[in-house]
Amino acid sequence: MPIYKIQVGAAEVSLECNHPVAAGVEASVFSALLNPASVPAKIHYRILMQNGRLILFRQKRPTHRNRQSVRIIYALEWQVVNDLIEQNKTMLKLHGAALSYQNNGFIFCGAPSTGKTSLAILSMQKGWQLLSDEFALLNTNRQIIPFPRNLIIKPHLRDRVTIPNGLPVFRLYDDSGDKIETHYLSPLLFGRVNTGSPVPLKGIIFLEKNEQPGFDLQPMARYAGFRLLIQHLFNRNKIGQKWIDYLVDLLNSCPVYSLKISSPLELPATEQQALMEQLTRIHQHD
Amino acid sequence: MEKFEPNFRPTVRPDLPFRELCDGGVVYDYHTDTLHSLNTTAAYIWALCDGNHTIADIVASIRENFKNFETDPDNEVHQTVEKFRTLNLLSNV
Repeated sequence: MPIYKIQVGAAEVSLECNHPVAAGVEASVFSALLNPASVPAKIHYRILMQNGRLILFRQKRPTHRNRQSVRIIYALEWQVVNDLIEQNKTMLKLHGAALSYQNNGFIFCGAPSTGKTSLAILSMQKGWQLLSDEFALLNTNRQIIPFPRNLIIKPHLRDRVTIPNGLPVFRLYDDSGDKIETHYLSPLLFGRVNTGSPVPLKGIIFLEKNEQPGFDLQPMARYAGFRLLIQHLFNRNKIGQKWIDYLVDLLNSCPVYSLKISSPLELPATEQQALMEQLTRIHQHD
Repeated sequence: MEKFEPNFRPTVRPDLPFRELCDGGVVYDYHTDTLHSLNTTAAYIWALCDGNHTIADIVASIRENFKNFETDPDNEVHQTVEKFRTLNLLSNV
């Protein structure tokens, strides 16, 4: 059976499965991160077929059984994401997209549906490199660790991007508890993806939905940014003195901006260009 | 708003770590798991609430060090110290 490895920062997991599940795995949220391997990692997953059912094993223990490979892959994805995040213990984890331009990294935080994924797509179309669309990981040297999972295309984005035929539909719960149909698209469809090298953080941008068409990018006070940053931490319960000091250092060394924006992909081309130009100038202004 | 006596010396709780940002600061209260972010003026006032400075000293210091202050420094100091008090961040009230 082929073995795949997924590495994010210091974390590594491996996965072993047979065709036809392998095809599903290759189309999973990790498609940009999968690499062939010859030996299993410390945390190893296997998907086996037994009596017409697929069984997902983590470290030889069965965790899920299902006849549908889509369900098994979905379960696998969440477990692997948790492993990758848990294993990167010394990193700051934020809910947000991360992108880079000429090796300058930016983190875009915002509530759901404020345009993180749209902005990631637009930025990639304009030559930026994706580091992450959902979880931004920062090491203690203030570098962003790439974690380019697939982009989760929610219903409001379905008409704005081309979805390849035959792509499976994943039903997820949105923040209001409603079930929504989503597609996972490889970020490679939109542009360049960084899968390995950490990138220095040069700016943090907090997105806010703008009901009016257009955008407004403004510098923000660090103390106000601190409050927002705390809100976007992946695990707020574990914040301690060490992390407070880290966040203070982070905010004292990197500019913070607010970006009020309507749907980035719906902006006129001239405004899209203006937005990208303003974003690329952020670190030069600090 | 409570008016403090001009010779009152507000003192922030010694168990609250204050961290300075380039345009303000943050205070984290571990007992209540609450984070307080302070703007430039509030952070400045916080630093002077050390038991050595009276309310009158703090107002005078703001008048001296903040040019073009948009609001009345006296009001600003009273409001900010009152806010510290209501948030239970002071040790001597």
